[in-house]
This record gives sequence, structure tokens and C-alpha cells, in this order.
Amino acid sequence: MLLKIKANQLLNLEQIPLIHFYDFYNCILAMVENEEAQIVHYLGYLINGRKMLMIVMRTHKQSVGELHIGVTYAPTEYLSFTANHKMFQLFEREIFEEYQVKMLGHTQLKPLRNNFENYEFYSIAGENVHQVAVGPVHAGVIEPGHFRFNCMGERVAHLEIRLGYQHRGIEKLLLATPFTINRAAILIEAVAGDSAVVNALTFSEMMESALNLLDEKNEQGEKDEGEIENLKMIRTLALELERLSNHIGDLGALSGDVAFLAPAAYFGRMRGEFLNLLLLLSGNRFGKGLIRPANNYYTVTITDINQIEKKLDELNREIIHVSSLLFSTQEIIDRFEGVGVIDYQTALKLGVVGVAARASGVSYDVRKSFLPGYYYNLEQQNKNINTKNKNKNTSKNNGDVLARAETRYFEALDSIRLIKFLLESLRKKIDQQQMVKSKMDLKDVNKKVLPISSVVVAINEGWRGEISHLMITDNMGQIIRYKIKDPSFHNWPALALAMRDQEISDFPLCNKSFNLSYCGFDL
Amino acid sequence: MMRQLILLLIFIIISPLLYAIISRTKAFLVGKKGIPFLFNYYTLIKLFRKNVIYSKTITPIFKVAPIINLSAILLVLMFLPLGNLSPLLSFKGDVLFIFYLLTLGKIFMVLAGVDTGSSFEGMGCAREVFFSALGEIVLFLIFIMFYRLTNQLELSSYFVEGKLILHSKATLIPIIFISIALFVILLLENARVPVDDPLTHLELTMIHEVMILDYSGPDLGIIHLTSQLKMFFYAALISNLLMPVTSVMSIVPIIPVMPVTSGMFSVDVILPFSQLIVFTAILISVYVIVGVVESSMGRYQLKRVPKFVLSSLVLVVLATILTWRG
Repeated sequence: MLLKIKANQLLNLEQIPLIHFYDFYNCILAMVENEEAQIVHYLGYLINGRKMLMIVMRTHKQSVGELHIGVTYAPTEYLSFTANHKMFQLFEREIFEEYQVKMLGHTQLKPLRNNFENYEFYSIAGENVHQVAVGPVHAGVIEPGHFRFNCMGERVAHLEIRLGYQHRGIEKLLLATPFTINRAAILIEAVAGDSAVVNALTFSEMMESALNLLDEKNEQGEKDEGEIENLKMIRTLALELERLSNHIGDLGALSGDVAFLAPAAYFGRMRGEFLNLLLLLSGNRFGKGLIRPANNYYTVTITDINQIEKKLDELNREIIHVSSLLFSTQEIIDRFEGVGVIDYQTALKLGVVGVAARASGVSYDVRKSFLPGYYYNLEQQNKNINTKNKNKNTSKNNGDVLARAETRYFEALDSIRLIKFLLESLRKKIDQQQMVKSKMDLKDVNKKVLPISSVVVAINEGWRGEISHLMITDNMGQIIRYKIKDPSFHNWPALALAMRDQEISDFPLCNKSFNLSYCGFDL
Repeated sequence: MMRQLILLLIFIIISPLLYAIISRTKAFLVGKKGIPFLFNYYTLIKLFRKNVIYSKTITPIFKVAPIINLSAILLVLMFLPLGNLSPLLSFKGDVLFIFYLLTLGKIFMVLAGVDTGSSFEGMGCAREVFFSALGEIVLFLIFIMFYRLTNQLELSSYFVEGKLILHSKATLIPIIFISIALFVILLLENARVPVDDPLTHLELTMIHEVMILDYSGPDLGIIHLTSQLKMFFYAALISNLLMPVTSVMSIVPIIPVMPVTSGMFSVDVILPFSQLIVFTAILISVYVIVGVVESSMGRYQLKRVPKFVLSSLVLVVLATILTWRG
């Protein structure tokens, strides 16, 4: 059986029962089939020269999420999970590439990020089928990725996506000794530039629980709850601003893709305004350098709060206005509707997460299921993000481009509401003490030593979806495996599937509606 | 004849400027500043200064295609009446000649696109050929109708000499219908929204732009110039059609300039001049309308484009019915 754990829980490796692969396999299959379990991590690692497999699954009881962790010795080959459950596809390919474990019955067992010498693309034979190869260098300034279409005329029969062109070996760089938190944090923020805040946040939360930073007592020998709350609030603020800027940017890009100029121009400008708010908060437009374990490097003053609030009111009106233009224009609805459909069942089977999943009717949201960081406090205060607009008309959830666009729009509005609530709470604090200082007075965090033989899983909801980091240390307190999982890792196969039987000319639109990360995948 | 030649040269020279009007209109409507009016000249100068890079897989067709396309459009412009001035060249049956010249240029561009061996350039070519085949139906129907009304086969006869007959027989409403149909063809042939998106960088959705992806330097400059001239050709065609007939013209705009007439300028000079102003005004408004259309609507899905093009066919058929008098 797998061990039930909490997010950000510091575990000793010995606490996790080391089970035989046979049990491991059956247990996972049973969980997937009976409890609709979804995969969070599935990775290999080496300990004392032995290949191990570790899996983290999540299940849901009502809306409360649960994490389960399991460890086993890696066999040299086994009947792949992918043969029956497609959500394992990329995870197994990754293990195959990095640890040479052979999965039988895996349909696409080939390298994932590098070793492309003898890479064979899937190809459909037949006189009417032609292949279209796009990328990795594209006509616009976008990230590199190769898309191989098997087309029949304008109709796409199959799309294969090959990424890895930006593989920098970040996970390996993090293992460098001596491990310093500052260096690691900078690396983590560079995993994906558009998700700098959420990655730094996940990393910081993991370090805080690994080093037990937040429970530290001050000189008077008591925990400073107020400080911790400030810390979490400012982080949540930054996270939601990142979400807003990206959602709004995506809406603009979607209208740009269908050549609808006005929303493209307005949303593009608004995205910049949100980034500028992040700049106000953190000194960097992408929020880099703001969040560090047990630290926020910037303080918030009453003028900041007033400025953010004023700008938000303005932007809220503008978003509603421009979106009504976008979602009420006939040609645009015609372009968005019924294109790139991922239905509920497919989304579940592929383990899609985030905006794309919610657009297909899968309600999973880390913020609600696992209540990380300040979302827990928000839940306590009964102010959870969606309680207010439960009866409002939300997206139709039919999994097409329109649904994904609408989901973004409604989530952006939710984020604004949440930020306003946070600002109100911060204002109250400022009334008491003039300035919210969130920089905690801790001794040099860098000097701390990581706990030995331990595992921590941190999980957060980035703007794309569930983002999760996993860290394993050995008996010397050295990190032996640091795994970063971007939501894109779950969602790229969904994009490939969404393109089946679509017009090839709709591909850019579908791609933009998912807006997945290339570098977050490549690592 | 000299006057026509000079006038044509002027229009050829200002066609990049006219093209910039579209961008300026679009920028104005979404609250941006927009490109400078001379921007297209800067681009052309920049491109003509550059070197050319050719792919290794091409044949000479790829190299000659832009030149052939440009020569074709220049030759076509010589047959184009400007305002109520007859064109430089004209002969019986030149309507067919003109449209096959345009097609010739396009064929070479398509061949060049296929020549690169790139799969999405091939797709772009397929789309271009399919859509312009549809556009051709509309154009030919328009000229069949004109022929029925005037019994002439020269382009100039529809817009200069025989125009009186055309306008009296067709009256205002059919003329407007035809203009709208021509406008749709303009959008189609010049790769504008809602048929194509000249701004996009998405190689899979492009039609016209994707065919020229492999061109660089002066070749690309020639292609840009050609598309600016082509835009001018279609815009001028519409302006010609909407241009009021001479008899009406001679009364209205001359009144404010009357005092001058008695002086050093004869009516002979003033009359075409005022007509030219009206012609240019209509021409510019066609460009502005293109800009307005582009900023007020999105692009159609590719499979909807044939419907859009063929809806203009309906207008032409309607115009034909309206002018049917036994």
C-alpha cells in the first residue's frame, strides 16, 4: 500500500514502506481504476547505486485532495502503465530515458528530452497522408518545439510533439554541492520565466518544511504568527498577480491569433499593467527575487496597497469591458467554439490539470484541494476563491478553445477579487504597525543543513495548473534527486489529442489556448 | 498620353504610402500610434540593400518568380484607367488579357512556393490556388455582366468611354453591389482579414505570407512592392467604378475654382484635375475601409472562406438580375 502524506510534509525515507514491485504495480493500478487517482510524480532515482522508482499519486475525497507516496526497487523491465492508462505516458518515457527501465507495451517508448539521434516519428502510411514538420525554429519569436503532423489535406490525423530543445539540466544543476538556497532559488526561478513566482513559492515552501524554518522561535521564545501570515499573504498576492498577467496575456494572444485587433491590443497593454504591479511589489516584472524560504525581500507600504487597489479597480472594469467585446463577436465565437475539444473523460484519462482541465469540467484546483500557503487561512475565513461567484455564469466546460478562454476570463476575475480581499487584510495590519514587514529576522538560512534521508513533496497551483516539486536527500543530507514537474508535463499530450481531426490551420489557436510551457517541460 | 504615363508613375510611387493608410487606420482604431506614413519606403529601401539568401533545393523558377510577378502587375497597371482618363494601353479583349496576366504572376509565385519543397509552403499554395479560383468565378461573372451591358471587351470601356452606358443601364444599386463584390475579391487577392492575416507569424494559418517565407532581401522587397501595387490595382478598380460620370463631375467640383479658370488655367486642365482629386479621395477611402474591416472583425476559419467569397457571387448575380432588361 502507498503511504498517505500531506503536501509539504517532511518524511523520512524509512517511513515509506519499501514494497515489492509487484505490489507497487497492482496497488497503483487499483488506485487509478477504483479511486480515479491521478499522477503527481513518477520518477526514478539512484540510492547507493540502486535504481529506485517513486510515485506520488493524488486522490480526492469530496473536494479534499490526498497525496499517496510509494517506493520500490526498479525492475529492468515491466508491463507499462501506459498500455492501459495514458496519463503515465510521458512519466514512463522520462524514466526510460533517464534510468533505462524498459516498459513493455508502451506505444511511444522513445527519448523525451535529448538523445534524438535515432528518433523515429510516428508516421501514417498511405497515399493521401502527408507529413508537415513545423519548428523547432518558428516564424515568430516563440519557444522552440517541433510539431510533426500527419495530415490528410487540411485535416490532422495525428500530431506528435517533440520538445527538449531547451533542456538545460536544471534538476542536475540543483544537485551541485555545496547546496545553497540562494543559488537554488535563482535556478528555480529560471525554470520557466512566466512561472517564476509559483516555482519560487513551491521551492520556498518545500525548504521551509524541510528546514523547519517557520516554526522557529524568536528571541522571546514564541512563534511570530503575524509575520508568517504577512509572508504568506504577500506571496499569495504575487502568485495571483502572476496568474492575472498570464491569463490576460493569453486572452490577448488568443484574439491576436484570430486577427481580432482591438482585444489583442488592449489585453496586451493590460498584461503589462499587471506585470508593473508585480514590479511594484517585488522590484521585478516577473516577480523574480521576491520569494525566498522564510523571506520576502520586499516590504509593503500603505501607498503600495492604495496604488495596487486603484489600478485593480481600473483594470477590473477594463477586463470586463474588453472581454464582453471578445466573447460577443460572432466570428470570434465561431472560431473558438468546437475547436480543439478535450472532453471530460479524455481530460481525466490524460490527467490534464489546471485551466485546461477546468475548461473540460474537471474541477481540480490545488488551491482548493490542498489549501497550500495562505489559501488555508482563506478557507478558514470562509472566503475561498469561488464561493462568492458560485451562482454566476461560468464557462460551459465543454473543453474547446472557447471554454479555455472563458475559464481564463472567469479565473482572472476571481483572482482580482482575491487580491482585493488580501489587500483589505493587509491594510488592517498596516493600520496597526505602519508597514508590513515580511522579511523575517532569521539567522542565515544558508547555513542550515538539510535533514538526512528525507522526502518532501510541495504542491501549488500555478497559473497553468498544478506545479509540484519533490526533493530526496541521502544519509549525508545531500540532495540526490530534485524533481520539478510543470503542469505542461501533464498537458502536452492533451494538445496533441485536441488536434485530432481538426484543421491544421487551427493548430496555433489550439496551442495558444493551452499555452503550455516549453522550457518548463524541457527543464 | 504623356499625362497618363506621369499620373501612373505617380500612383506607382505612392502605392506604398497608400498601403500605409491601412496600418494607420488599424492603429488609430485600437488606440495605437501606428507606423509612420513613409514606413513602407524604409522597409523597401532596407530590403533592397540586403543580400539574398537562397535555399539549396530551389530551381531558377524561384529566382525569376518575383520579377515575373512584378512585371505582370506593372503591365496590368498600364491597362488600368485612372479616374476618367483612358489607360496607356487598350485593345479589344484586354479584360481577359489583364486577368490572365495577374494569374500568370500568381502561378509563378505558387510554383516558387512549391519549389522550396517546404510542406507548409505547399499547403499555402494549395489554399491560395483554391481561393483565387473561387475569386475568379466572381470576377468573370462581373465582366460578363459588364459585357452584356456595354457590348465592349476593353477594360477602359467600362470605366471611361462606355461608362455612361454602364452607369445608365446598371443604375446605382447594382453598381454598389458590384463594388462590394469587388471589395471581397480585393480582400481575398491581397490576403487581408478576414480571409488571411497579414500580421500573423503563424506559418500554419497563413495563405499568402507562407508562400514567400523563403524569400529574403531584394526579392522580398519586390514581393512587397508587388503586393502594394496589386492592392492599388484592385482599389483603383473599385474607385473607377464608383467614380461619378463626367457630365455630373463637370458641374459640381468646378464651382469653387471658377475664378481661377478665367485666369491662366483653362477648363481643360482644371476638369481632369478636379476629377483626379475625387478619384484619389475614393481610392483613399477604399484603403481606409480595408483598415476598418480589419480592425472590426476577426479572421474566418479557413473552411469558411469559400462561403465568404461565394457570398459576393450572390451579390453579382443579384446585380445581374437587377440589370436584366431582355
